Amino acid sequence: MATHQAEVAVRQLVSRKSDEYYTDTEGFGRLASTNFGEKSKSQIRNLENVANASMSIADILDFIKRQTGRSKQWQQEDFGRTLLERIREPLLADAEAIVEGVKATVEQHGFDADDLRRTHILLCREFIRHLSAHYSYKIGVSSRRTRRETK
Amino acid sequence: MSIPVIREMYRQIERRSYELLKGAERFAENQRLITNSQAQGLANVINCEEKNINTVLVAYVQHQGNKSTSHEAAFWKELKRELDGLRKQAQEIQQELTVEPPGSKAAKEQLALIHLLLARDYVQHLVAHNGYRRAIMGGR
Repeated sequence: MATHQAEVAVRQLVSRKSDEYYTDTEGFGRLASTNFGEKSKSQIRNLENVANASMSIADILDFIKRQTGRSKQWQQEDFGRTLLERIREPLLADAEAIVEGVKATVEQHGFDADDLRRTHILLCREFIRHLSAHYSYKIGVSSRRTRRETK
Repeated sequence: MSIPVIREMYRQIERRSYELLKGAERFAENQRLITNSQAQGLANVINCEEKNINTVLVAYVQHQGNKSTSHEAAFWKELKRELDGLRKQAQEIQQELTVEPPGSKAAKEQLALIHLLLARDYVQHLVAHNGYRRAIMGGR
């Protein structure tokens, strides 16, 4: 387990990375709003809940696979498959870069595979949080537009 | 088992979950897909109250293999081998816990429980990947 100083450094780098994900996730949010609309809000809320509650990246991947396996909404425009691929290897590579960066600047020893796993989950949560925010914004805007047009 | 030991046991399994997922994916990629109802049946059996992994393996996996066509029989036979193989990981986890006297009844029960929890995690990943593959391959 990393020291408190290393933990703070990891959190700072995760926050910085999170800002980069903001634009990356916009496309996913748009696609989710097209696929799920307002009626299936729970799909994205459940994804966010799983990401926040789980301590294992495998649980998040399993959730996406299960939903993609059983629901056309997750399959449309390859939403499920693309999301799965995006949060798996690229986010793991980001997590590795963060852990290596902290090792090089703050603390060389004391890191183990568990720290990499936890960093990957933190990044995953950030990514899904942005996706969910973009999705909520998109459906909010489109439902307001629909209400204005029907008046 | 005390609560700290149980907590540590689950933490150790959690740490291995991603590797188990990769193993389950490799397995599913090399095998013919099973139907959704077979996958669900497997998930139900492995998640039932039964605490002995061997009962689960013999009662369901082996039984499925015996009554299946040759393609499906290969799947169940290989799955049984994969799940049997998790015993080594269960032993590694048990060594980290080191509370029960080696060879005792309690130690054997602890090992069986760890093995079963690993198998549950593995099957959960396998079922998810099986359904996912069926969907992206258009149900083939």
